[in-house]
Amino acid sequence: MNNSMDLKMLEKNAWRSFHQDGLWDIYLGLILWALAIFLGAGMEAVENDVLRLFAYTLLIGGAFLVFWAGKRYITAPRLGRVKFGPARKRRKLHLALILGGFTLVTVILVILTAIAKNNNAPLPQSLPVYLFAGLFVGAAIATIAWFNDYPRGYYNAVIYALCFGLGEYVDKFAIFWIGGLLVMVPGVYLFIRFLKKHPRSEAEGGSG
Amino acid sequence: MGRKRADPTAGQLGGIDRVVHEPARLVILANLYVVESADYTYLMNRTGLTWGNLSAHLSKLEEAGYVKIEKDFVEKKPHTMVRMTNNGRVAFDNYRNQMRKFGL
Repeated sequence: MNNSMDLKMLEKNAWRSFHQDGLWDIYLGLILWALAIFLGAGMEAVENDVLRLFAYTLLIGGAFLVFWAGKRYITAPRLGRVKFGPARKRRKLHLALILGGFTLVTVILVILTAIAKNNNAPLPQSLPVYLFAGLFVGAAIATIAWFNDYPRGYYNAVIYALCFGLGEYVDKFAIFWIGGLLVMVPGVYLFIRFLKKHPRSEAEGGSG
Repeated sequence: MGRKRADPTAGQLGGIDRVVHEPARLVILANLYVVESADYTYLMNRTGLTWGNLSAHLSKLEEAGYVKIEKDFVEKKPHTMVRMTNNGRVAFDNYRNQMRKFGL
C-alpha cells in the first residue's frame, strides 16, 4: 500500500478489470466468423461492389453491435463508471493516432486495389500479399494489446496473423472459423466468469 | 486547571490523520488516488464494501474535504461520481510518507 509500485499495480488492476469481461475477445472472434460467413456465402466473388461492401459492413457491424450492447447493458452497469487519469488518456490518444495510421494504410491499399481492378491490372495473389496482410493485421492487434495493457491481445494478434497470413495455403473459410473459435472460447469463458463474479445488484439502479 | 479545549488537530494522532488511517477509508482513498473519478458501483467492486458502508465512509471523507461527491443524471437516472480533492491527495501522500517513516 505504501509504495508507489503498489499504487501502480492498483491502477493497472483497475484498468485491466475492464478487459476481463471477455467481450473484446468475443468481438474479435465474431469478426473472424463474420469473415468466414462472408467467404462461405461466396460474397468475395460477387461482382457488385456495393452489395459486397453492404454484406461486409452488415456482418462486421453485427459483431460490433454484440460488443457494444454487451458493454453497454451487461458489463458496464456491473463494473461501474470510472475516469482514468491523464497517463491513460495519453495512451488512448497515442493508440487512436497509431490505429488511424493503420486505417489510412488500409484505405490506401483498398483504393489502389480498386484502381488496379478497374484498369484490369493483374492483382498480386502471391505469398507476400498474404504474409503482409497477416503481419499487418497482427501488428494492429498487438498494438492495441500493448497500449491497453491487455496481454491476451497478443494471443489474439497471433491468431489473426495466422488466419490472414495462411489464407493462401489453407481453406480460408475453415481457417477463419477455427481462428474465430480459438479467439472466442477464452472470451466466452471470461464472460461467464465475469457474470458469476459480478451479479447485478440493486445498487446499480441507484446512483451507480 | 481549566477545561481542556478542543484540539484544532482533532482527528489526528501523533501526526497521523485518523480519517485516512481507518482501513476501509484508506482502501477507498487508494482506489480514488489512482483514477480521476469513479462511481459507487466501481468503488463497491474495488473495495468490497457494501453500499451503506461505502456511503458512510465517503460522507466522512467528504466532511474532511478529501473527496468531492458529484451528483448528476445519466440517461435520466441519478448518478454519483466521487473524485479525490487536492486536499485528499495531499493527505494521502502525507499518510504514505508517515507510514514509510515507520517502516511500514
